[in-house]
Amino acid sequence: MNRALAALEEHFAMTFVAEGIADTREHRAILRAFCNADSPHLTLEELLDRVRAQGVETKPDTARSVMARLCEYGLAREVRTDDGQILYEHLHLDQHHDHLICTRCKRVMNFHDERLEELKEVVATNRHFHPLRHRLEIYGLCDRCLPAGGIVRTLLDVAAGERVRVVSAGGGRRFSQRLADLGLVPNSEIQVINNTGPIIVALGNSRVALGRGVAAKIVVR
Amino acid sequence: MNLRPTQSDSASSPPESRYNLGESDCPIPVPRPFTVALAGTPNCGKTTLFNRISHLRHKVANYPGATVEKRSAIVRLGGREMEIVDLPGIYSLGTESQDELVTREFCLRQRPDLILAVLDATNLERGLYLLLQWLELGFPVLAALNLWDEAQALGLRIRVERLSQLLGVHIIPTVARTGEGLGALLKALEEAARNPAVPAFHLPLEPPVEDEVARLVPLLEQRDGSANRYPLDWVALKLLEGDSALAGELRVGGEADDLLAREIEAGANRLRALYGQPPAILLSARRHEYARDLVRQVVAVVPRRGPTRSDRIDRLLVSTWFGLPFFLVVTYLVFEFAFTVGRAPMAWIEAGVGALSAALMSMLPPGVLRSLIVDGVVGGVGGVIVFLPNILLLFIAMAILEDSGYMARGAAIMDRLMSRVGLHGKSFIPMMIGFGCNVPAIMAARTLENRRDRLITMLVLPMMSCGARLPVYVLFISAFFTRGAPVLFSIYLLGIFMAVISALVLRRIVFRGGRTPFVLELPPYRLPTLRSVLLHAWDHAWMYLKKAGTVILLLSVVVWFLSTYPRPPKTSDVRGPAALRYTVAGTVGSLIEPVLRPIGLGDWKVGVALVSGFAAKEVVVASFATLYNVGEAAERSSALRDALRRDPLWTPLSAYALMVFVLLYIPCLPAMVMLRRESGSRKWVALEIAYTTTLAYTVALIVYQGGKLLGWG
Repeated sequence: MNRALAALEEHFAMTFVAEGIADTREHRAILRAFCNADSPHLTLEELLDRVRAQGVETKPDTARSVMARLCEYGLAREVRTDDGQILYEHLHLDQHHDHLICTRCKRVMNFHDERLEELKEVVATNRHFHPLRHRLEIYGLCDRCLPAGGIVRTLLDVAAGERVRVVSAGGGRRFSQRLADLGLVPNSEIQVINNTGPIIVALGNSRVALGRGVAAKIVVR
Repeated sequence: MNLRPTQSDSASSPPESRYNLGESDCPIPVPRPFTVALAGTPNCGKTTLFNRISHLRHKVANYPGATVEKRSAIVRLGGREMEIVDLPGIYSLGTESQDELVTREFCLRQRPDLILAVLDATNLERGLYLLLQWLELGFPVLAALNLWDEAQALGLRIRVERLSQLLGVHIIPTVARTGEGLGALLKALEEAARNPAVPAFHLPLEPPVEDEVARLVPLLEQRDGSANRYPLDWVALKLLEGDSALAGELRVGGEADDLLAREIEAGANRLRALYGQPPAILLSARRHEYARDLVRQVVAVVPRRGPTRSDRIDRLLVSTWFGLPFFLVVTYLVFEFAFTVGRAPMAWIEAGVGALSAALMSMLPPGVLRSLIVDGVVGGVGGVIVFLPNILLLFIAMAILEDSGYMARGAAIMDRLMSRVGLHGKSFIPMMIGFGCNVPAIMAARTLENRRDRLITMLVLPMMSCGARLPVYVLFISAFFTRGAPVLFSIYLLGIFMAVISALVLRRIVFRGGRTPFVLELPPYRLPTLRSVLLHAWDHAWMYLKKAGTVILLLSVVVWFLSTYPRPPKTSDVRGPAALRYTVAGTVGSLIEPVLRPIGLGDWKVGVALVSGFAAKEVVVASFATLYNVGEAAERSSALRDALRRDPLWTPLSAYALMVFVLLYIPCLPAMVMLRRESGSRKWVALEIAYTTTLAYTVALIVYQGGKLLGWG
């Protein structure tokens, strides 16, 4: 058992006592079995096997309540699989990553950035806070969804007077060429002058009237 | 920025040397005038400048698409003849619209010696976007920075010298409207003609694009002939952009070119994968970006960016709740104006014509000659000239709408409605022009990019009641109705209604498929100048007068002959109107008469007038004048109106049926010639003639019989 885990075990043992849970051999064994597991997920059965391997007898209910406590402290996570089985997932401090979650296609991308981790330590320490774990999820639109009209805002949703940047000016090939020739190309800045009836946009000093059907195909940000 | 403004020395190397001009393409120079193509974006003042240079007065309008065909003028500059060609306004040298095609074809085929690029100083980026494309093509370019005064008023400070240097193009600030800067421009033109400088311009591209171009150029070099007419990197770029017209011209994709065609496709795919955009859009964006960069370098002061006065007006006039009602009121006022204001001058001309024929009556001995002059010529031509004030006023009103910039807004406002009935917002401008004259209106339909949209517009357009039909309405309305404007307006509305129905039918049956979306540039509102409005209106009035002096004069004489000969046999004592029955016109008219009876027009005179109206619709009036006068030569002083009132055939209902028929039946001959040219097929002309005549008869029948049932007859 490495030092970090030993420290962790000690820490939790103390916390358990503070919480009024007896620091029993049984509890310690469950804790140790979970922390030392080599696979990222454990079923309750696997956990019980590992506890038994340490020569300690335990009841499933006890194991469940200890794990519930661990989940509460953010050391573990209960994951329900499709076939209804419960898995306990490790959320160890030293193998942490953060998530980027696309709200449109639900894609989850993992990332890990040391600067963020350090910042987290600094923020916590400055406030005399002992961090156990943290979770960072950034919600937004992924690169696949963004240019394809995934962004909800089209020119129709832009209020008069607002200044926006063109993401894509869609429609057929001929038509997007037509818009491009007028200056409605990706990344150009436009201002909406009128948004009742036909839409009038300003491109520099010139004004272009667009039918509402056209405006619906121009994605802006 | 990677511009290399080098000017080739024309003495030591010919300007085309860069492009391996093949021997066969370079015949022995025939002395032809130095050709200058005037090119620019729509509404940048190109035509005004053209008029200044050529001392002509072409119609100038404040809406995009006023120049629908190229026009040219020969001018002498510094002892040298120059042909100045005014090209339609375009945004890009692509193949997306008819205008772009006309311009591109002209420039690539005829290779003008110089491009006089007209830039709108208030919208420099867009002008430069087009100018860059001329430079890429390797044309010598001289630029006029027009609307300089408006740019100054906006607070734009443009460093012309610097821009000149950056582009390697001589640039002259001008104000075409006042003629400011024209002297300098002409001098520069003279200089350029003596020493045309080809700028060696290369649009800096991102490395992956450059790589693709570099991969294609050697392949193009290997091909013999055609591609070498143009700068090869331009050809390579265009092919990557997917320019099918150029690919067709160079026969890329034939069996011999498998490698080239494959390379092009592979390159385009690589770029699409890399940038996530089709190469054409990518390069458009690149050119815009480059133009924007140039603007950033030379425009010192960026003006305040709040809404302009035009914008504030638009927020009201183009808004959903106010735009359409306001537009309809404006349109109504146009007709009210043309009709009401025109009444007094009409009376004067009428009196003048009456006095003239009375004088002729007393001067000339009675006989055939007097009848020919008084009834044929004065009656026919005079009957048409009377309506000059109405025509003039209608065109003044239209000119004000156009020059102020409101016409383009009208198109935008109408788009929603027009699209419901299978038309396009841009159909609206040709249709408005159609109220003046159908012939230029059919031409103006070129601004529509999609062929289906264009054909529908051209086919329903003649139902817009043109100025030539106005005399017929005015004649019958003033004879049989007390309140003129509502009746007149109802005729115009009926025309619009029928156009709508026809468009719907055509869209459903003949031209199925989607519409192209609506995009139109809006010019800023400008106060129309009196000079421009009057010139514009006068141009049309003059055309009308010229027509009265030629076609209508001739047809009046023809109708007079046909309605005079053969005379009734000497032995019979038939006199007066009854004698007409024996004439050719009487015979023809009698043949048609039974057909016209169900629509309340059962009179041979109507038949003759309607047949003669195919040449030009105002001839209907001239024919009536001639036909009625023939029978009443003795009473020439009374106006045609009174003659009509005395004829029992005419009631307000039959007069209305006639107006409906004239509104809808066969469009005039010149309009059909134009339709043949613009649609490219006789088929459409035949369809149009059959359809309109059937429609006219049906609607007139419904009006007349319905009216009789309701007890109005």
